[in-house]
Amino acid sequence: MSITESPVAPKSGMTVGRERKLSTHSDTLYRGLIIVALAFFVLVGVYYFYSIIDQSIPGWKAAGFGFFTGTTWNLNAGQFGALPLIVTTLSTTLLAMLFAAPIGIGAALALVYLVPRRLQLLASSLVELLAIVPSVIYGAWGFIVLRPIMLYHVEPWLQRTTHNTWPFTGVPSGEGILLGGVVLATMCVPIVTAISRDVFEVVPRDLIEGAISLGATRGQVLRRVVLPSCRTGVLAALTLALGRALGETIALTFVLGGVSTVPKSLFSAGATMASEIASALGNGGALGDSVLFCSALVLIVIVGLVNYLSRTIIRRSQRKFQ
Amino acid sequence: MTVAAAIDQMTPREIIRRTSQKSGQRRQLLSNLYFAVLTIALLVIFIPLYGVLSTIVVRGYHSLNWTFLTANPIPPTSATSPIGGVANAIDGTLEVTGIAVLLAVPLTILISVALFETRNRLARIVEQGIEIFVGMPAITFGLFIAAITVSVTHKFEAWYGSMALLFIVVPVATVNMIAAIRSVPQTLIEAGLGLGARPSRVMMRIILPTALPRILTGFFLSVSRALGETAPVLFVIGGVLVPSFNPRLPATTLPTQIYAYFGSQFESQVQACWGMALLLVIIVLFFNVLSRIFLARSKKANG
Repeated sequence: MSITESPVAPKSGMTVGRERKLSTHSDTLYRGLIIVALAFFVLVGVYYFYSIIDQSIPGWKAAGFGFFTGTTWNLNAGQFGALPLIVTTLSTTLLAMLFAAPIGIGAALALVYLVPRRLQLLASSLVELLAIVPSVIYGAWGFIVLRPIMLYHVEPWLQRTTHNTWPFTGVPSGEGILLGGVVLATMCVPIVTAISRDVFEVVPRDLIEGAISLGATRGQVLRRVVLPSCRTGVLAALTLALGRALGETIALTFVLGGVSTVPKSLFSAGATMASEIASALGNGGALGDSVLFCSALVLIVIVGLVNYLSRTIIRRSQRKFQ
Repeated sequence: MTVAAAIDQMTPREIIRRTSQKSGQRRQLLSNLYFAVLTIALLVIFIPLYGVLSTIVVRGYHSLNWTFLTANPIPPTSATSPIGGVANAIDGTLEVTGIAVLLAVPLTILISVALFETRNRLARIVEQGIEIFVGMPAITFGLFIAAITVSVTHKFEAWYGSMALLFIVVPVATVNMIAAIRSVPQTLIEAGLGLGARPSRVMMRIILPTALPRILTGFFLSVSRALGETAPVLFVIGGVLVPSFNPRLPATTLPTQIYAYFGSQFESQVQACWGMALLLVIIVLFFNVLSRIFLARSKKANG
């Protein structure tokens, strides 16, 4: 039983409104600590954003708007066009979500509605095992194990079956955007699955029983009742995974190859905004480092925007249901 | 048992399995097709799981021996020269993560309690801030800490890495801890206040002890995440070949050592990566299992 379930209980805190006055004078240290803790967090947060912005100012001055439009990225040569990084970041993330969203949601549905009760704990523990493997290990695995498979089997096959049409053009190299997308998808799937599973588990039984009594088949219950009622929760899961994919760093430094120009196909090598920070910080002098802070700032804004949008959508649809 | 009571006993899976209509061949076919697709989705997940784990174990278990755990690394000169062990990385991981946890525990408790007790503008801002920090790319925390430490002191120190890890640990642990203390039954709290206890006393004696298993779940989860992080510590802890046992000196952690060895031209060092990967997964798994044990305990306690 939680506080929020009780109709009369306040949403949070044990002392709300006027009741607080009763005990205020005797608990000053406690209340003082509370205010200090909140203020401390705000200060650190502001300092974090401030110092990232502050460090990136020389970079913005040198790169200007060309940061978003320039197609050549070479820190040592003073060429700060980050379009290659931006395109690679967005395309690997998009690819990862294309794989991870259907598989992750489907697996979560299967975990709740398909796997026998005895196996449920085992199956969801296994999925969570995938979530705790550190990203550096995914990178190593992607490079050593997946890259040869991509190079000798998947990429030639893709070219053959599509008759060399875009985006499957270019020389297969194993590493590149496709491999990056697959590795990212592997890291995102357990996030999507774990959160969606929690959401699917608490679908009101009345809804399911109602649909069944109206004659729905098992598939129809999931597709027409369970999925629509969990839209917001699933969206939250996808958002978290999307943020993780956009910001993933170390694994991608292993599997993406390198960067200089805008990638032309799924087989092109590249670097994302985050992975380039990890591999290039300290190599391009003070100005180069500052440009990398620009990249970090853009990344923060994109991730923040994604979170904000998804939260707005969630809040709106919650209001609609109430 | 009546039918209604029997249905109440069922899990969602059993409800749709046992009670849904079997009539209508086409509809039934579509339904079965849908379930087949879901099964495939679940099975597809197990491919990378098996792939990753088998790779780590098969390639890594040769390396795991006493020398590997206790010796310092030796920079190789040829393909066959010995490379020593990873004692430096084990010490570094303990130092960096240990200090991060020591600092994170009081911070998390303070912030969670503060958020539980206040419902004003400031608290709302902080709560949203924490959610934002949960989703922020870890590399940006590394950049931030590098900007305020290494850029100023021009030295690498292990505890800088701990500072960066705080940004990983505290938000995750706080989100879990707030959920934990908000799930403490309101009746218990009211009983405490009704007996005349001050809010701080109610917090210390009733809320925190009741929520303890779930709070620990959150901590162990965030620790297991922090242990595997490379990006936040990469720029600030430098690297060493011998354990320093001193947080004011540079350090190497298991993930950063893997990162460094992986690009090595010596096959023996790349091999050692898998040994370290196996070690790292075992440590992370240990903390994850701990968190699950406490989660199971809290579920049992709450009925």
